[in-house]
Amino acid sequence: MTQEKFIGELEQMLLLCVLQLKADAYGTQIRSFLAEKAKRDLSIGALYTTLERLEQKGLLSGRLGEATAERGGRAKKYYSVTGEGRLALQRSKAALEQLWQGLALLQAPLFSQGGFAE
Amino acid sequence: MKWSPPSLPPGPLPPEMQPPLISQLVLEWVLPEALQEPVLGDLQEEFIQRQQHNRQRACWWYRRQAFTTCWHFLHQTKGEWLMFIFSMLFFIGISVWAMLVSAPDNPLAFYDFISLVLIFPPALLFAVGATSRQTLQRAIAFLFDPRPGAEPQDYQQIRHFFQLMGHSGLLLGGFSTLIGVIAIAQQTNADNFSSTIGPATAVCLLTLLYGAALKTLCYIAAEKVRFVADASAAHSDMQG
Repeated sequence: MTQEKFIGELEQMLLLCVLQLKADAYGTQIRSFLAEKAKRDLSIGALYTTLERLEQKGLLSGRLGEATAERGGRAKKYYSVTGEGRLALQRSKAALEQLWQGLALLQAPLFSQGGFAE
Repeated sequence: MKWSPPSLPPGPLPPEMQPPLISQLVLEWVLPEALQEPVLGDLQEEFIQRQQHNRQRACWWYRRQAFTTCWHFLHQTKGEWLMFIFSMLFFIGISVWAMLVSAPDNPLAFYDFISLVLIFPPALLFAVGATSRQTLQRAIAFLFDPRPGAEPQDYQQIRHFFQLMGHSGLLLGGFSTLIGVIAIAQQTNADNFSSTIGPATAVCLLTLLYGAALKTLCYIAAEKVRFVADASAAHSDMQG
């Protein structure tokens, strides 16, 4: 159990973006997709720091693609989720589902004096 | 909705459509080599899209992105360089502080332009003369980017350059101090001894102080070169 790789919220979101974008998953597309679907405006620096970390963990794999004129002749880096990445996502989803079981956050009163009301 | 790349006329991008040059250069300097292509490409792609609406805003956006990207990668790629520069600045700062504390009434007591000219330019010229202009260029490049990966011979030459400059600085300091001592000895007599000996000796010792400071800084730079050369050799051995 201790050998399992756990992922943070942003890492999870990026892995899901890459899965959703399929063969078109490179920096600009991932950033734009994340902003549109999750309302999260990530800077390019933060995006690539996280993508690099996921690549180092073996959850993502990257390859350089074609260079285009609008990119100043620079290549795109396409990402894809590895088998290990899919497993990490499944594990994360299962853990969250377990933790959410029996909770109905919207119906619960927010605060009573001294803490959460039961 | 997916991101659609902007349409462009064929051929190279006209200068008025280029992203801010300084930000690009800083990014190239800070980013790891493997990420330069994708990050700079992504930034340019989005910049061109944005500048179709408003170029000024697009430039600000690019600069902000460049700043945050540098912030994320600076420690990773330039951490050792930052520590190296910090140690140098710390030494200079502490020295200036000590000087100000020792002479609170006269903050410029440790500054003498002629002494500076006697030490720094000749030491640099001696080092360039004894090595080459290319070695000077490599040494300056090393100061801005002390990364492993160069040829062992290059490191040897850069280290030799710093050692030469440090030794020259110290020797020039001693030499100039001797000139000062001789001048003092010639011009001091019973009438002016008590009023001139103190200030004159202080000024003549300044060259030795500057020489010693240059020697210290060059020693640290030379040791940094040795450290990076060793790391580079160890990395090559592991790959070989």
